[in-house]
Amino acid sequence: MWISLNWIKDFVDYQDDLTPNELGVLISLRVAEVEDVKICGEALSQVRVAEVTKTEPHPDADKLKLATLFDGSETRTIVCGAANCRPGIKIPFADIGAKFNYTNKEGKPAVLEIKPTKIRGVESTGMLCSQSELGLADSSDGIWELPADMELGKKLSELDEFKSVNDVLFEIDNKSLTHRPDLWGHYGLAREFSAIYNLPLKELSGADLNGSGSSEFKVENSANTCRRYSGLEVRNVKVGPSPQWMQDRLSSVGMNTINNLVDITNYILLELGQPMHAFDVEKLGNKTITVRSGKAGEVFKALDEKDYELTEEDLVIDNNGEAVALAGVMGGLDSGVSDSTTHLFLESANFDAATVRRTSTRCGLRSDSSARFEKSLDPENTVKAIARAVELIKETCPEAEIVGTVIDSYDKPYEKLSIDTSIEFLQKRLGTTDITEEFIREKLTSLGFGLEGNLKINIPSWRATKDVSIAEDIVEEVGRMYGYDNIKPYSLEFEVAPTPINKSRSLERFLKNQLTSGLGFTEVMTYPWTGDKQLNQYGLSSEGLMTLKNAFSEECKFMRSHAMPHLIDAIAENVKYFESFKLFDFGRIYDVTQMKGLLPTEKFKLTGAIVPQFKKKDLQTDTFYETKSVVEDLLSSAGINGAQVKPLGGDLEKWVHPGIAAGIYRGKQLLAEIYKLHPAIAEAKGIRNNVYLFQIHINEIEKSERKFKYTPIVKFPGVPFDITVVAKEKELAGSIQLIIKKAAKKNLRELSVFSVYQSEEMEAGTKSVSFRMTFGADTHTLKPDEVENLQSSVIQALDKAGYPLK
Amino acid sequence: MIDQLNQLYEEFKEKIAAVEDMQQLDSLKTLFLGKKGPMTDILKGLKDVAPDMRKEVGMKGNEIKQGMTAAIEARRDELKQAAINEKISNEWLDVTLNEADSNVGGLHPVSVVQYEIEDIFTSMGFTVLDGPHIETDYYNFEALNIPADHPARDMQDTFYFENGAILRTHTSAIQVRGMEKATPPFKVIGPGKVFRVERPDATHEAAFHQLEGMVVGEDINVSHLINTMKTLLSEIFKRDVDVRLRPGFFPFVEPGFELDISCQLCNGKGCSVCKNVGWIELMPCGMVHPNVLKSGGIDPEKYSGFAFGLGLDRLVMMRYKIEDIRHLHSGDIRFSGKFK
Repeated sequence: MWISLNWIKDFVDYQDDLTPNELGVLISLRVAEVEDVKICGEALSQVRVAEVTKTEPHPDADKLKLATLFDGSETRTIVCGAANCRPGIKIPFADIGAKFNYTNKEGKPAVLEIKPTKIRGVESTGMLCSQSELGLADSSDGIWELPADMELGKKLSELDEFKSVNDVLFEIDNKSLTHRPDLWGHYGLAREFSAIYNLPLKELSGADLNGSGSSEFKVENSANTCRRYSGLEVRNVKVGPSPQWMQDRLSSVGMNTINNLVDITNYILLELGQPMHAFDVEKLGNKTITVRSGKAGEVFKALDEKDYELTEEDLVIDNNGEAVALAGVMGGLDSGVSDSTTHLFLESANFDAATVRRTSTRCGLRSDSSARFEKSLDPENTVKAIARAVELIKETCPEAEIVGTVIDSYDKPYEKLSIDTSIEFLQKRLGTTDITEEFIREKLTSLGFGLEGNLKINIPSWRATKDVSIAEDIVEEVGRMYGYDNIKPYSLEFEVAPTPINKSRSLERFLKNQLTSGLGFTEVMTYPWTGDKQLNQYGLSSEGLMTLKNAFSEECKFMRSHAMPHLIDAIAENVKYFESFKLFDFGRIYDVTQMKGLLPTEKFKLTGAIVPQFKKKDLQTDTFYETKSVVEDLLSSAGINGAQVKPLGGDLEKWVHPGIAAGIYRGKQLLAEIYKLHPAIAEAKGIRNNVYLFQIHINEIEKSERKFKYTPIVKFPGVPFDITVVAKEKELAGSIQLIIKKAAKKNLRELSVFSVYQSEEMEAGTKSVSFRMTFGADTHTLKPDEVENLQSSVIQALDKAGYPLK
Repeated sequence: MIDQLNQLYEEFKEKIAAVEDMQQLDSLKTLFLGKKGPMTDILKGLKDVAPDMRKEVGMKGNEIKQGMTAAIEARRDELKQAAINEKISNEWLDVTLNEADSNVGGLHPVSVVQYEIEDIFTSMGFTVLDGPHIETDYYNFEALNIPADHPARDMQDTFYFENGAILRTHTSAIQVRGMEKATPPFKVIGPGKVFRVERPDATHEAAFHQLEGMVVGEDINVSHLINTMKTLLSEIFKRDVDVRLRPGFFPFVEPGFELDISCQLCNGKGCSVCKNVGWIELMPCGMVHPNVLKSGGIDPEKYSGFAFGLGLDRLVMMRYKIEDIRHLHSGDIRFSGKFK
């Protein structure tokens, strides 16, 4: 919203003691955010009135002319390209040395200085200006022809005609006014100026509203959502253009000018913040105005010539059974002011904020009026607005006459609110006693608050509709007027106490640091949502998933219940740019099988992958084992002991290679999974590489006991023992190891597989597996017979389990 | 005999000059000084020498033996040095080649910045809290004093689920859950993902990151808020930061503020980044609204507090000058592998 400083000065005698930019900052700090400051008419002080006395063609250019000028004392010749440059017209002339501020192509402020230049061989000493060059219009056609009666040689800024052009405009961020209905017009901002500068605020003028005779108009207002409806009948108006000063002012703040009557309602909207509407009485069916709810299916034709279908939630202004306005949003097409209008009914009402907002949102119809009603306007303003409107109507149509007086339906007056607080509370909450009682009383009074004792505060109507209701709101009033930047910062005082640590967060960071700094993985982030396309590709169903009502795309309609598809999708993208890589994602899934009320259980999943360089016909099984080590190392460094690797059980997801899939279990609890990407998914995703994936179920890790065990360094030497057994091709070395462990019990120090071998000389479908183990005891060096016993019990156990020695 | 010794010494000198490696040197040593060598023989024969000559011959023999030993050790040092010199001149690498991959990956930039900020807060006694992404209307709006008809609740801003749950629109949703479990005084932060209905483009995202902070205790006031923010932001930006509070409206705080920081690019002098005003709008903050304290089960008559919300993605984009916010969730390691 644009605010004109000249307009504010109608109500307070602000003395320009700050530069426009400084004033903009002050408004931001004390009232609301100023996004832009525009200085208008600055260029007018750089140009003088001159007359073109003669023009001749340029000797060397068809489109240029040589113009001779006279500025009242001097004659000179300049080169001009404007088509309308001709003898006899008065124009604004910028002499050598004139300076113009402008914004350059990079959006930075720059200065243009007029210097003597040669144009096609002819020296030109000055410039004739267009309106746009002087910042008075966005574009203009040719140079600006000034009125013929202007005094030659005068600076334009010194002429009365252009006084209103000299102005400073502030663009205020509408969002920062959400809670301030009173600031949606210049008068409210003037009140802020009066409080900041301790200047008296002038009353808003208005005409006497007692006219001749009585009006036949009747207002029936039964709607709860219309607090007040005021109206006035005015006769003998004449539609025409608005006075120049009003047109200038409206256009300076970006409002289109239409005709005197519409402009007046707009003027009041911008001045007092009170929206008004003018009905053409001749176009109304009768003289009864009814405020009522919309009817389902009812169609309203608005001023913008579009049809809107109404609901029972809408509020309409009805005349003769027909909706003639959508309350607070927009007037009707057929009942508004036109060029032939002579007889008016002025509406100035107070509609419910939520109702107006709902209707304007639903219809996609945002107007200056709805923007204001949405903020909960002051109901005390309706009649003031009518008085001011009549005053302005009389200026443009002196014959206009009021019929009767104001018709005012105001059964639901606003609640008069007061707050009990104290000077001490206000000082305490702001954290300073530098703000004196005198200051507090002075500022609150200027802002319109009524004060009694220490300290009952009566809230003025324009702040009482929703903005101010508790003592903390008064803290804000005092704080902003004092200036938060003037409050001295003080350090918090707290007891000395340890900070509780978030253990989940520590685990997350620990794992991520291990992966990135030690193991060479790169972290990625993926979206938490999914859609039918992705679900189908990965053989998942959307059934039961958390479903968004207002997703902006089909692909983010559901909340994911699996994290791996997102990682695989990321891999499919990254293989385009990297031959090999390692990546991981630490994210959430939304488990709908465990609902807590409306909410699913959110679980953390660490998914990752090692993608080796593409090799034809090579499974790169070492990468599987590398991936497995990564996961085992992560778990053991996180304090997980006694976990076992087994083939991954249960129903496997579509992206898991059924032959190369391991689970890390503690008992029945699945802590992590390591597997190869299923060839079908790899194919579908265009991934040629062997991809080895892992997933760590973080919540399971958190649930598990995590301890770091210290094993003392062995004192007595160990005895090595190697053994090779025959086993079936798909037997797991892990199962055979379990047998050895059981047989050797606590005397087994180390055990590993050092060779797995298959050859044609062996029975088909078998393999040999070689184990290396070390026997030892904590208390003594094993004696030869002890070693022999251990060896034979291992051999016997293996043999008994069907693994004969080779 | 002396002649014999001298002759042997001459012979030794001749041979040692021809020695080229350690092996030859060792054989030479054995040859001349070994148990079966001529020196041993000669010295053994000393007993047969006339007694008056014995002393002279003995001294000469020892002199020559020492001379030989010294010459052998000197030659040994020369050979060692020569071997090292040869290694130095032969061993050479093109050190500019990259023949091996580094085994260091990288955290996502949001993690980098988030953890750094978490550490600053925890060093100042703040506890890190967490909350669900999928929230109830109560924790995201109602408990935060956001009334039923507030524009923030519009479908165009908030993701709604069919069952009435929502995706949290701000980390402020963590506030009330945190208060329910805490007893004042406390200092907490809640970092995390938040969601708004926004079609992603270079500067907008539907999923982004915030960090909520809250301090509650007796007599917490505006001057504490200013001090805390100035201290924290100076730590975060690793330089002295000026802060400025302006009035701002957010339903869950009263008074509410917009906090500006002095422009980090121009030090407040004015540049294109700060639109020539020297300040950059950074974060909303304010004194916790009494209704919000009540929602969290805290008596607003006894306690007060302040809260603030920091846009993490914005800090990340500012720090690394990232041109497109969509990179953050792209899963592209060309992007996220760069923040080692």
